[in-house]
Amino acid sequence: MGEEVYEKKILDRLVDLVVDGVAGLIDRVRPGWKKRREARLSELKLTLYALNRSPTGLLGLALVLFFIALAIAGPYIAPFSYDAQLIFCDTEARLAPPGKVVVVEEGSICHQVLGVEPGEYKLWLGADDQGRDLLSRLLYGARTSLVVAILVMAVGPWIGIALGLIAGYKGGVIDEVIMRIVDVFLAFPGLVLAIALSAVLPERVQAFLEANPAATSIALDLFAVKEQHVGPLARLLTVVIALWIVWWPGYARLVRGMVLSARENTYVEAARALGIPTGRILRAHILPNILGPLLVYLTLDFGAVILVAAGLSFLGLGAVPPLADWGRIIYDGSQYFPNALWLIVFPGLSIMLTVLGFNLLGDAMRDILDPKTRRRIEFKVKGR
Amino acid sequence: MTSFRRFLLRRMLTFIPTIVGVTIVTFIIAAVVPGNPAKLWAGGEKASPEVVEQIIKEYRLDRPLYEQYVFFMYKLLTNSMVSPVTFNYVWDEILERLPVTIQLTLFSFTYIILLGIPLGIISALKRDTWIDAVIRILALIGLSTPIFWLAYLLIYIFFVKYELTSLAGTPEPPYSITGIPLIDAIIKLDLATFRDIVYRYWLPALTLAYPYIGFVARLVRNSFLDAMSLDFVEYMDARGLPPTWKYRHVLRNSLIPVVTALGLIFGGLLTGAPITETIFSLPGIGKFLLDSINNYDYLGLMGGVLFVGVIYVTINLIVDVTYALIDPRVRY
Amino acid sequence: MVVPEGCDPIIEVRDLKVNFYTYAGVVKAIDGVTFTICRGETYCLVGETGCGKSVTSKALTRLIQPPGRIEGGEIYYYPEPGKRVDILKLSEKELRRIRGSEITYVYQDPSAALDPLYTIGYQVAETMKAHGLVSRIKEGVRRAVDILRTVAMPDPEVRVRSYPHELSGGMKQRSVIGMAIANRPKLLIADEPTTALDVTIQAQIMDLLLELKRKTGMTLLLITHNLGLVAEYCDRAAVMYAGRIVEEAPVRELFKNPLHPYTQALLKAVPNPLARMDKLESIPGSVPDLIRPPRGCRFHPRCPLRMDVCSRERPPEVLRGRGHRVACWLYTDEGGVAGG
Ligand SMILES: Nc1ncnc2c1ncn2[C@@H]1O[C@H](COP(=O)(O)OP(=O)(O)OP(=O)(O)O)[C@@H](O)[C@H]1O
Ligand SMILES: [Mg+2]
Repeated sequence: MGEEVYEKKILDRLVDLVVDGVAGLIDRVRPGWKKRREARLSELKLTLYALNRSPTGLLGLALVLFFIALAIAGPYIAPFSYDAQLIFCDTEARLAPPGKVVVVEEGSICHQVLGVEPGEYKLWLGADDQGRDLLSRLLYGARTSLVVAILVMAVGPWIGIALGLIAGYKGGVIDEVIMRIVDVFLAFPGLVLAIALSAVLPERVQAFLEANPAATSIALDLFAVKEQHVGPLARLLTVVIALWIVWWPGYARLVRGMVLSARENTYVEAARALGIPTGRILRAHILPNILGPLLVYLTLDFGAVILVAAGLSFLGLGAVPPLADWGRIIYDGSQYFPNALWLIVFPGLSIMLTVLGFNLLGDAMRDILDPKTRRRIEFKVKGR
Repeated sequence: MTSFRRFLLRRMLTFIPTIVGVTIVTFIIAAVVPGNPAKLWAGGEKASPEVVEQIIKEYRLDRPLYEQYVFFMYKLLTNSMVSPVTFNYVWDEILERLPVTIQLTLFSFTYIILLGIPLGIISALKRDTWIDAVIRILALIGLSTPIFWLAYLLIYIFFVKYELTSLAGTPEPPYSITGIPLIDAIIKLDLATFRDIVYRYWLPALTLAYPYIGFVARLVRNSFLDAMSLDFVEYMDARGLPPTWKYRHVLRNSLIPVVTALGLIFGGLLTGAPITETIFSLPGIGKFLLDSINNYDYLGLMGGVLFVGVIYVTINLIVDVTYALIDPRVRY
Repeated sequence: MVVPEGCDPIIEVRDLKVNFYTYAGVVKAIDGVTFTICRGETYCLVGETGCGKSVTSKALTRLIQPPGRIEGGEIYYYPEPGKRVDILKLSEKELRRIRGSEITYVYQDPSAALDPLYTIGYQVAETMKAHGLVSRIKEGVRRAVDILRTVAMPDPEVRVRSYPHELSGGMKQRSVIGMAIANRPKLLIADEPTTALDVTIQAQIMDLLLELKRKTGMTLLLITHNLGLVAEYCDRAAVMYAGRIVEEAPVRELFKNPLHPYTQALLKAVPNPLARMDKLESIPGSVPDLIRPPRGCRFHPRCPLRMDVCSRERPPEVLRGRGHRVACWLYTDEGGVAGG
């Protein structure tokens, strides 16, 4: 019945198509699934319709999707490899400004060793001091950023969420101990902790990589890095580990607070009184309640991780050349400041637009998932 | 008042484990540094064995870890710890950096308050208009901007192109009252020094404040709107109160989360800004921490982290006390 | 228009319509409500939860917030006999002068009426200052002590300096009533003033309201779903169902001779008038959805006596006896014929 007030847009139809399609597929595998989830599915659709009516949210989504697409395709569509030092082809390539054309001659080192096809190349965004094409490095850098963010977000927050759930639900001594540990980590300046860890860990990570060739080859593929650059890669992975340790305490505190207020709900009290096992209550009653706000935080933090990781590389921790990392490119470019501004401007813009995408999306999601503001949005949706 | 005192005491007691925890974590990180710190401190590979031996003795690096920790903490707290890298008393070194950090903090905080709060209120009052949209997007852009990048752009414009700031040295007046040049200059009404200080600090402070301005504007907007939807606000209409009176009540109610955030931001600023200080070559606490890490000066780092931890818990306490001033429901 | 003889109206509402525009659709919360409140009487609005009592009362001074909107009708306020003010034509500023001074409200939940960050005395004083009764808050706080004494607040000198959270529910409601009478209102609208309170406190608060009414001669609009309160305190009562008034009569007449099947069911469902009527289990069916209300008479799907016409056309209002009107086809010529 709610539908009638919406004038369906093309995007809404797309939502219908995707949601119904996916639900249909699952229903094939598990008959009856769709029926049981009917209410949730239509709620999901309404949520997505609301997103369709938030211009900033859509802009954010577009930026995020664009970034992800570049991160996936980047290494394949980049004109050069991230470490192709074009100065070996053409000395003019050193700190070449945007739009400069370099010539690769038949039989040059560049052709024979680096495997660059002879011809004329236009360096759209210029090149760094080794004549490495900035555009290519930015494309590879997108991959680096995405993978770092995914690796961090796949672990760090979840440690916090798990501990927050336990602390909030169990209470008592366990809560006290967990929260004191959280206090310690919050009292620590996050950046300093990350810096200290990044300074300390690389050798251990490298040792680990050397001992585990399987893990190494997965990491190399994920980051689209050549085998001979395992050393720099180990330093990059260090940042991931450092950020795991920095990223959990905030979530522990957040989730604990949410669990405490969800616990006040009568149905949770009733479930406890009925002696339903803790795990079930957490999964069935508490988690769904806190999922909305949590999703918002996770989205916003995806951007925040990219920003902080870039900050660390800028400080010289984490990725080192020839690996392509946006923060590091700015750091290396800053050695020539105020010349070679392109080495600062373009990677910075890449970082900003990517992070902005996640922030816009997260912000719109907050409005949509918060019942208070949601009603207003839907009121507007009606087009009065 | 006695209950207030008891509250203070209780809070202080929970601080101690936090501070101890912070230093232990630092110590552990430092202790797992690969390689031999004594050798590094003595000058690396070329170090003479006698010097290394002496350093090991002096800093008790041959003792069990817990003993080392207690020894370090004791020396730090009594300010008798000399950094093996800088050959200065650790605490003196930190105090020497403090004025720069404090001045940077004061300038940044001024930007944050003067821009963040009004923008947030305007955004809330003009909710769902284009003004609101512009402020919200600007705030998000602020949160998305890497400040090291912003720093270079601003330096390019305001230093390279127009020379509206300086990037070298830190203005020091010939007199010292509080030890913080900015405050001294204000006390003495020394306009020339004051101008120098502003000239030196306005740009780095703006860079540092930039993301926080957006953050605070957003927070003020949202908590103002939350407060607007509190039940008693509707009843104020039924009481026939003028809108300006209504907004006063709303503002005070929306202040609670804002005060927390501002407190934490202030504390965060006081604990140094490694990136900004590096780019603008300001020798503050952030640069000190960074240098300590880069030089494997983990005694210096422990001192610095101890300082940061104390600031953090103190600010937290102040925030809690401020709560009670705003919200009568908070009792100790 | 049915008004008792000699009625000097203070509020006159004609064909009021209020809609809420929600994402699920347009809630037609108030759909053609007409009534008159006479100066000096206690008028009651009764009905199940969600039938539109609060919305009606808020509409009287245009307190409806978006997404709600008054979509039609007329509301007249007579500050003095013969002096008519068209509420729907007033500016915000003029309205503000009336709200909180001439027409005041007491809501169900006193905690939702008080700002937790200010003292009771301050908030009472503020209400007075806003309407020019005092020129300074300090003076207002002094006067607030007397007002709190009037509403039988224990220790008024201490309580003016208390914060809302330091008071019990009953004391909070007394302060809200204090705010509501501070400016000597002509009409006090009490929207379920006792529902959120302990049973023992309920009678005290009601007695207080009655006593204040007797002392000051103000008019009282009492909204409740407690038929016991209606019987005990009201002069006339209107029964609301799903956004409409189905029956209105002097209280004694209403209890003795209920005409509308809904009123009858209501009285039957609550044999003990002091019981709460949150839900009418004994009336089969459920409260209608106001986005798609039933056609014709909104009660017809649940009505034991329904006729064909009921689902087709809205019943007209029929006068039955003195000051007794009912909106039901049973009492029209056609209905009477069809039914009999
Ligand atoms: N803000 C709103 N948004 C949407 N619908 C609303 C809103 N406020 C009221 N309504 C609708 O208006 C109708 C009347 O509400 P009202 O609050 O007047 O009921 P009531 O008779 O006072 O009930 P109660 O006894 O529970 O106080 C309800 O059905 C409700 O759905
Ligand atoms: Mg109501």
